[in-house]
Amino acid sequence: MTFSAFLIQFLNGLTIASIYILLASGLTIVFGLQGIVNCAHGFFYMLGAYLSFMMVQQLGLSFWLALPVAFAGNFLLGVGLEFLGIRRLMQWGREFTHNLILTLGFAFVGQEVVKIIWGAIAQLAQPPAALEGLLNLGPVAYPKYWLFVMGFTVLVMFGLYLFFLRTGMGILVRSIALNSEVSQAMGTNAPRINTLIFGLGTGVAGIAGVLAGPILSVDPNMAFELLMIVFVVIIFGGMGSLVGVLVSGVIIGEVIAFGTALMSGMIAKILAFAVMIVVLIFRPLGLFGRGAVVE
Amino acid sequence: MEMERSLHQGSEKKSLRFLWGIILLALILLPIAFRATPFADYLTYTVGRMMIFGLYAMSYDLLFGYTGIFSFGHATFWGCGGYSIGILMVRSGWQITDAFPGLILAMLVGVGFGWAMGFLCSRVGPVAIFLVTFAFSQSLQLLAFSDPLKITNAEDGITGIPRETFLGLLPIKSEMQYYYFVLAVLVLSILVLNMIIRSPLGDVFVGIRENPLRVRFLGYEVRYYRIVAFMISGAFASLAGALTSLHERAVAPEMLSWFFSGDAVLFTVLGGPGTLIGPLLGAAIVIIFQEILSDIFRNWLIFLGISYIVLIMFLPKGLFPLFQRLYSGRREPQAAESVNSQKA
Repeated sequence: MTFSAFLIQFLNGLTIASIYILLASGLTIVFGLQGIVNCAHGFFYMLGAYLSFMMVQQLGLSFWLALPVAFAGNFLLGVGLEFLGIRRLMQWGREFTHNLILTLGFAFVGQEVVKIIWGAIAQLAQPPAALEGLLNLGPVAYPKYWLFVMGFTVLVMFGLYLFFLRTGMGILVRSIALNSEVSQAMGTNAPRINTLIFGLGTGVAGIAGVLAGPILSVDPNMAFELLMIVFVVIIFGGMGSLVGVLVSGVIIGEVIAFGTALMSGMIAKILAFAVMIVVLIFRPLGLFGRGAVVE
Repeated sequence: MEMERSLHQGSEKKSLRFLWGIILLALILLPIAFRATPFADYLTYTVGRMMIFGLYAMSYDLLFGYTGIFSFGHATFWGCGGYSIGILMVRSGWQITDAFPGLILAMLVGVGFGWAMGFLCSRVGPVAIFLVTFAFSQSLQLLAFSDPLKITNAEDGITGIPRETFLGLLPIKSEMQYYYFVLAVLVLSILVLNMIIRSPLGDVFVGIRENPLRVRFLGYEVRYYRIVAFMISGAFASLAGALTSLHERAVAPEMLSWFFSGDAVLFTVLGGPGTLIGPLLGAAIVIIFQEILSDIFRNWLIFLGISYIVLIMFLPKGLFPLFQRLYSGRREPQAAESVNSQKA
């Protein structure tokens, strides 16, 4: 493998890692707060991709409009799901499994609705005109849009960092993650914040969908296909850890990119799973997992 | 917990035995009654499928309903069972036409994969089990698709699985013969599963579901028992998968799809987790609806999703306990059931 080929695969790894990181961060934050996993996360990702496809390809609107619309739409839908479903189940004192099954059912319904509206055939979204073509980086030329995806992900993650560490709301969120009861005793409205953060997670998944549209194909199976790798990223990074998602996302992205280049796409995904097995054997908490995950 | 169980066991037993008897009698008489009609083959095939899915659902119930492990990778066992019998009978080139070694191999493979999955799941918390099991089944499906060792025949799967005899003397070739064979396997499996659940081991499983910490204080290694639950459940799910590939005479990588994991969850939630008979009925109900709806409405899966949501919001104990309450409430309205319902 020549140096330029190596560099291109490395950049491919970072691009795919961006999508994994955006998806995994929403899941892992919600887990850190409420101790549940949103099984419909893949659906929100798919919805973002389809909304962008509809707005850009079918209605001829701008890509830059699709990003905020997908975020807002997914945010509202996520808030609705949390408020009408998950919050009720929590108030009724149900087991966590009930929340997983609820979101799973939501994912099934969503997937079928997408099939009814947009059909079951795979679509290909186009990158915006300003970002078409290659950018010369010295030793290699690389698609502008893929670089944009990386840059935008860095921006979103930096925004999340500022939100959690530098705003009053972020401090409240972290206090709930640390100890929900004590935080509520101090007057934090935990259910409302949980709802908002759940919506934030689904909104970011929508952004990931918009960004991934022109790179990966847009089809009704994309929700569950990507989810496996995202789960591997979360377990590897440590459940509930945002830093862990960043580090493990990049590592798994590189494993996928080089595995695909040297062997095949399927083998690369199996390799990613093998990485997770090794992590579970030697460090069950993941890279940055805290606390007693194992009882 | 313990007290509650012994309290309502008496009244439960009577009604349960009656129900089991009716179902068994109906299953035995069904093919004979419709023997002369033109749709006899379709009926025996579909009801046979129901029984196999029922066995699959019951194996998941042992894991989810009794031990409280929410796995979303049960298709692993389903597909592994199908593949192990297909590989032994077709791909190995050994010319085996008897079903017995294949079924035994399928159960052993199920136990092995149950151990592997249980081991990985024993390393993480209860919520993360969902992630690990899902990734496990997905990567196994990718393995069957990519087929690096040239044994699963990639996306074409394995076709032409012979279905001649069982143990050399029992013919299972025709639809009707195979139907009764599946029925016998189902009844035997129910007896074994029931025995496991009524044994001290079953009590440990229920204890783990209700309060893992307390079970640990009593001196049981919770992690070890969870792995055992995976192994037993894997054996029966794998047996069901092997029966399916004998039924269809083929096996494809789709058998490892998450879709079948979702089926296992739905059957169990619909019928009533922790009741054993509930998931069996749940599987029957879902397959009846599937047969009717998939013909007239292409996106019938939407009903599947809606039923997940409605059931878990408003009927988390499933249909069977509801039915049971109506049934025993009419005959002997006593305190036993109210103790049970307060727990909800």
